Amino acid sequence: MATKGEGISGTKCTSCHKLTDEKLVGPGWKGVTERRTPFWIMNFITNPDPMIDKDPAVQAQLELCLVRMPNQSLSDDDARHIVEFMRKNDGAK
Amino acid sequence: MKKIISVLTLVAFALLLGLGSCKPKNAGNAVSGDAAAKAYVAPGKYDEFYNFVSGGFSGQMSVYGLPSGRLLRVIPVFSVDPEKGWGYSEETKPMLNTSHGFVPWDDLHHTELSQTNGEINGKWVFANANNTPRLARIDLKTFRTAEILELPNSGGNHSSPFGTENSEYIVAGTRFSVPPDNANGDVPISSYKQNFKGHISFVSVNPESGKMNIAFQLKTPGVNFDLARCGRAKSHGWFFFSCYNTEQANTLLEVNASQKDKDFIMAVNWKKAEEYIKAGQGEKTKAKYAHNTYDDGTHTATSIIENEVIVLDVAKLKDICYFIPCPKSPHGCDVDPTGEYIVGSGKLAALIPVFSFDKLQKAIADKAYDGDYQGIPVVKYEAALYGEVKKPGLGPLHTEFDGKGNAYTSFFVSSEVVKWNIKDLKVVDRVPTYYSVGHLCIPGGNTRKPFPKYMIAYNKITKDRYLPTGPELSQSAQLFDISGDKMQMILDFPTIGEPHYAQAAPAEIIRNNGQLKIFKIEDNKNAYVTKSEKDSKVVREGKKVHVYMTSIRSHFAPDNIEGVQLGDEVYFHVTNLEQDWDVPHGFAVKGASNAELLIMPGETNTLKWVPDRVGMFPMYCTDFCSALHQEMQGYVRVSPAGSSVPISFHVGKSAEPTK
Repeated sequence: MATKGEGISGTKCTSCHKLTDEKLVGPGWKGVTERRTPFWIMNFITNPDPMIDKDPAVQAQLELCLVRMPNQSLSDDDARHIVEFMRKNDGAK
Repeated sequence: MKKIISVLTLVAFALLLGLGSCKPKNAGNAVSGDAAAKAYVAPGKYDEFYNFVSGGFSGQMSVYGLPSGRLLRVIPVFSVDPEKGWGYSEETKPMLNTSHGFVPWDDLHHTELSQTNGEINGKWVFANANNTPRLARIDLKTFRTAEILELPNSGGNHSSPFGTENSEYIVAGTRFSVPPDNANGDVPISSYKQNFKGHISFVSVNPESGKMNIAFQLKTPGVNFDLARCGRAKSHGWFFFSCYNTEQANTLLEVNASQKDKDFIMAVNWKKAEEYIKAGQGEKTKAKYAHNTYDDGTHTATSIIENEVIVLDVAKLKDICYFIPCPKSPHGCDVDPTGEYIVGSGKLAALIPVFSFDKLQKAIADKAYDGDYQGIPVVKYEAALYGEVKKPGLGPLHTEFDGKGNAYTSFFVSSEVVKWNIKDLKVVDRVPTYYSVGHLCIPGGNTRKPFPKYMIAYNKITKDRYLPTGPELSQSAQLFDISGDKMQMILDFPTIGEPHYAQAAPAEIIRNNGQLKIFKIEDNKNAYVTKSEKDSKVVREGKKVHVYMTSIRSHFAPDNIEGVQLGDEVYFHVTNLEQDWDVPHGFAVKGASNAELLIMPGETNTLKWVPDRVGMFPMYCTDFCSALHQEMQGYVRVSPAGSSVPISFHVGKSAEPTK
């Protein structure tokens, strides 16, 4: 699953997100699975617009990045694989 | 919203009162009180109809919303469009290929929506090229031109792109008769009668893919074919073409092609033609014509040259064609929704003949002929005539139908639209247009199932309609409410190019046809796609440099490129990695002698660039994409030929400075 997630994120995510904690266009992914639940991440990446509009934490992040995270048309399965890749990136076995 | 409408109504009323005493010569007083409300579509609301309007000498097709008259899109078809990179990107250049090579312009006259069982199905819209004869199919899932087919043996594809009830065929009749392509064309023009022939192409359309193919051509006497309509319901299997210049004049047609009292409507039994084809009676004839298709998977067009066409000689093969005499250089030739009545409109006539399909069949069975015209039987006028609309106006051109027993005919010379009852041939209403109306459009008005709420008149002369803009004025269309007994003008709106024919369909049919919002990046099969930023690269192949580039809000990868040399051809293959609706990225580089790219989400486009000097060349995104759009830029360094600067590229961190 994590390997699949790595492939998808290569096309749809890593143009803007580094795997370290360094911010590129969006925040780096290091530690994201400790800051957010898998449920939250999957919700956000499959349908970012409502959360950018409503969630205060995401709105605060937008003030830092100034680029709305695009809807990259991810399926629920895609999102699940990406979360697994994020977990692996954070050291999960 | 109610308040806005009532204010608009008041304004319209004030205008009406103010101008009420004027003669009905100009616009203002032709509009009644509630016109504004009827054409008003509130911000954020959708229109009820899509209107596909020919762009005339712009070569493009425009899409309007009705009743608002808002321009929604201009679809590039036969002319290059630098805004969309159409005809400029490497992927789209083959679409404009012809047997004459790359042709960047044409004259688009008519549009035709695809049909199933005589009703609009929302799949495709077809268009004709009037100058270098071609037929185009536009895919209504993408609003893009998907296919362009050149037509051999033709000169001026005017009698086109009219289709049959299930879009089995789209026809293409030549306006100019010419010597056939495989004959010697180097003959005296005065030998018209001996050497010039007409050809009508029946182009088949695959019901699934839409793919077009010239099924056969009918070779006819040398005359001018003008317009056409299919038979429908009872007359399905027949096609009707208006023709003029049966005098076979080759100079000063204005006078010399107007000598005879009657020209013809040519009735074609295309089911019979199919039988001859099946029986192997068609003659395989050498011809050379381009066939161009755009593939949504590779985002790339291909052009092939076809070499052969099957021709049926209708003077030799009996029972395909019949001529029906029609007064005074017929232009429009329109068939009512029941398929029984065929309306001919003589440009110089002061009456409208209406022919009966049943009577035509009987006349053919009884051989009620007035001899023949170059081997084709001429049916007696009275034997096919249902009746004439007497003194309807001057210069009838085109007729559309409301499906409620009425016909609406445009009159160019007397500048009006006349509504008449098909059964009793009596005029029931008339309304002026501003000015000199050509085609008319009622949504579905050429089908079994019209949607008779609105009618649009497309005018040839615009004088005094809008603020003046120098010698050339915007073209004009006028929208009428035809839901009541009286036609009522409710809106006047400008159009691009010169509008000829147009068709319209209820918005639901087009909106719900499975329209695309993005191209899936997973399915992108372009030969130069870059699906991930880490795969972006610059590759030198001799004098060619290929840049595999990605774009996403808001940067290119790579955005710094070095090692390009004077004398190189650089190909920027830009893949838009976005997967969200309405987020195209643009691409432009300084000094490019072609255009920009406008790349849809998930798509790859290629711009060829030949740098003309040594130096630093900025490149940037042209389509505002995010708050940091202005940051979406980069540089290409161009060194002298033979320079030792190696190819290098990157994004996000500076490389070691090279010398």
